[in-house]
Amino acid sequence: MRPLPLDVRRDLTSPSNGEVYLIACTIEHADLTTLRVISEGVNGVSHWNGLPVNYTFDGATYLGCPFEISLLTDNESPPRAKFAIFDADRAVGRYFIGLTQSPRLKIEILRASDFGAIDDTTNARTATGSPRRIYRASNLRLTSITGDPVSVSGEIKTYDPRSEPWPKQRAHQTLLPGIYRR
Amino acid sequence: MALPSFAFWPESVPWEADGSSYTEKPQGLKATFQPEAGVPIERPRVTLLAEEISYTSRPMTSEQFDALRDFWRITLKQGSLNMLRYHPRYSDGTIIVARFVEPPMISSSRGFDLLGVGIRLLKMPSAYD
Repeated sequence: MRPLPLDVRRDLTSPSNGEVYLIACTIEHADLTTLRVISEGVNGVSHWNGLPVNYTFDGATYLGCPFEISLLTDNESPPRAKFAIFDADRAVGRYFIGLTQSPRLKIEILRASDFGAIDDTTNARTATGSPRRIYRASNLRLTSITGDPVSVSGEIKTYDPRSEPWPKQRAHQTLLPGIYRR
Repeated sequence: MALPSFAFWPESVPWEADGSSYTEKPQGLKATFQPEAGVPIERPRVTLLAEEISYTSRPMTSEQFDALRDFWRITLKQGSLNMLRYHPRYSDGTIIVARFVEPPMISSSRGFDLLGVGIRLLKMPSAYD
């Protein structure tokens, strides 16, 4: 079980809680620039001056963009989840087109109260100090990516050790020609 | 302060609300869980709320209505772009960032060539306020 801090768990079950939770996703691929997006809760975004509110922390800016994501499953199978991001201008879809390897994904959940007021120049809230990560899942892979005119969706997977070839090396003729000599 | 520039409401078209038709409410975006017994568990879903504004405009002529409809259809790409306009509740020139929720509609006729036009807007939080 992935532990949630006790105070967060208490806040989540409190009848009145003023906290907004942020879901930050970092999508990386060796051939592409890193894509950082942040959603206020699941599929949520705020606007300031008519533009989505961005968030800056740890020296990087996360673009405010509503997306749907489920928490990773936590059972005897490798963790899995679904991911769908709004993509009306097809920018995200173009990002994924032509990839032969699945991009890496990191999910972090943060609290909006750890961020300051919006800067009108960048339309971003900047973290006051180092924001606390309530939940973090890294080393994930975004696979089975599909798109339609308004969204891009995919499946989140982790490395499955059961797919590891075993034994790692086999005594085949190419590797050990001597033992196949007649 | 670098503020985005959006198209401004047509100068020739009245922007004021007519009489008692004006309503304004924040979007109700709360995450709610209703337990079987006890009070609902609630928290906000987003940090900033847009506001829904609805009113019937002061009477406008057919020419003014055509200008407003063209503004919605052409300039705002069928209402999908934001605009700047005066706040219909204030007379001090307060500017807001807003978007049409639905096309401007003729809601009543006020005598010869005078139309009451129904306006529904989504007002975005902004530094203009």
